[in-house]
Amino acid sequence: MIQKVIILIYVLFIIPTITFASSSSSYQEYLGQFDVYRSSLNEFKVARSEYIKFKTLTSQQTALDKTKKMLTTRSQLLRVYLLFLNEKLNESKAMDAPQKSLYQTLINNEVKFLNNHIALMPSIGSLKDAESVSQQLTSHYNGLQSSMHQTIVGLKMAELTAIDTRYFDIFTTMYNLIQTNKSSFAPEKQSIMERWLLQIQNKRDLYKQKTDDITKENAALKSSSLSEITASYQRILKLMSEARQYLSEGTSFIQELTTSIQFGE
Amino acid sequence: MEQPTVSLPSTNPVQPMTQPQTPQSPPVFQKPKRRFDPRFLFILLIIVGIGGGFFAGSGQKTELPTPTPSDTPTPSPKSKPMVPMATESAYLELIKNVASLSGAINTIQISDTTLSPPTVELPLGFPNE
Repeated sequence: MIQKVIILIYVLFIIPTITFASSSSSYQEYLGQFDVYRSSLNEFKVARSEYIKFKTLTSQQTALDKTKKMLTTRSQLLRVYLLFLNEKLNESKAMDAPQKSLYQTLINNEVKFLNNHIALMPSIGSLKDAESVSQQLTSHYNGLQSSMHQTIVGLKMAELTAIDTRYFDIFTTMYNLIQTNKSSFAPEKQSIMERWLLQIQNKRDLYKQKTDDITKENAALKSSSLSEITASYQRILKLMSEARQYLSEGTSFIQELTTSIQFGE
Repeated sequence: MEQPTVSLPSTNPVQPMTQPQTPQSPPVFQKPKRRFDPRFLFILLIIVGIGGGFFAGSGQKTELPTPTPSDTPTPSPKSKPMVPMATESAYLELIKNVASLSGAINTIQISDTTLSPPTVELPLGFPNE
């Protein structure tokens, strides 16, 4: 009996804590890596300007060392961020398994690219080599940013879709309840309720229109231009906020109607 | 006959040196200005306050009439008749689900700053050699 209680406590409290800690520890790791990158970037900039100014062999060697370090921390930062996104996908209850798998494949491909990129760092022997290795990431960077933004949009859209599903279920239940007990209400009240139900349905239609707009805008996230990706992402965030607002307003209407249907008149 | 010369005393005797006479104005006695002393006002206020207090205390208290309940009771608002559905479990479950949905909508964060992707510097910026 005691063993069962201990197992129950473990399942109820300890396992959820572990899954929560997973994403939050990834985030902390990402923040730490960001500090490391910033520091190495500053050192690189100092070494580069000294090399450009003095052109000595010593300054050249220092610049090479600092460049290699910066290139490594830069790739590691992007890699750690992708792992954090992966943890977010793992924890998402709103996203279904096929969608999750789709985004995880996208992330895994990017992580593989970065691992290969990091593996090239020890072979850099000159500043020219460093330029060439850096160029490899530059040419892939837009695709990487696109994958990151698509995953974030996917996570947020899954949350909105889950809420919309609940909204629709509640609406259907309420509609059926009203139809079953129609005879309990006065005729005037019945017409008011019909009108209110229509308005609740309209809010959902408006939400659907916004999600259609998001789907269209999502295509622009696969653009080859970084500025276009960022602009498109901002537009998607705005559309998602509007979609959420419609669901929120519709839910307030549902609350009003559920209070109202307690009374026959 | 010769007149003896007698020296006559001069008719302009030497005048003693005196100050030139100025027209003198009559002395004015300045009356001391009457200034109001704020201490008097303070004392006056205390006296008025004490007097007022005595006056109020000595006055007879008028007793308010005790209210007596009237025969006709105050009408209370009509309670709306509830439909039988309102007590059913389906309805109660619906109310609970609506409250839960409202909470879920309020907690959702669209622009989650923790998810913002990092931006890194790409060009190394060494001069072409």
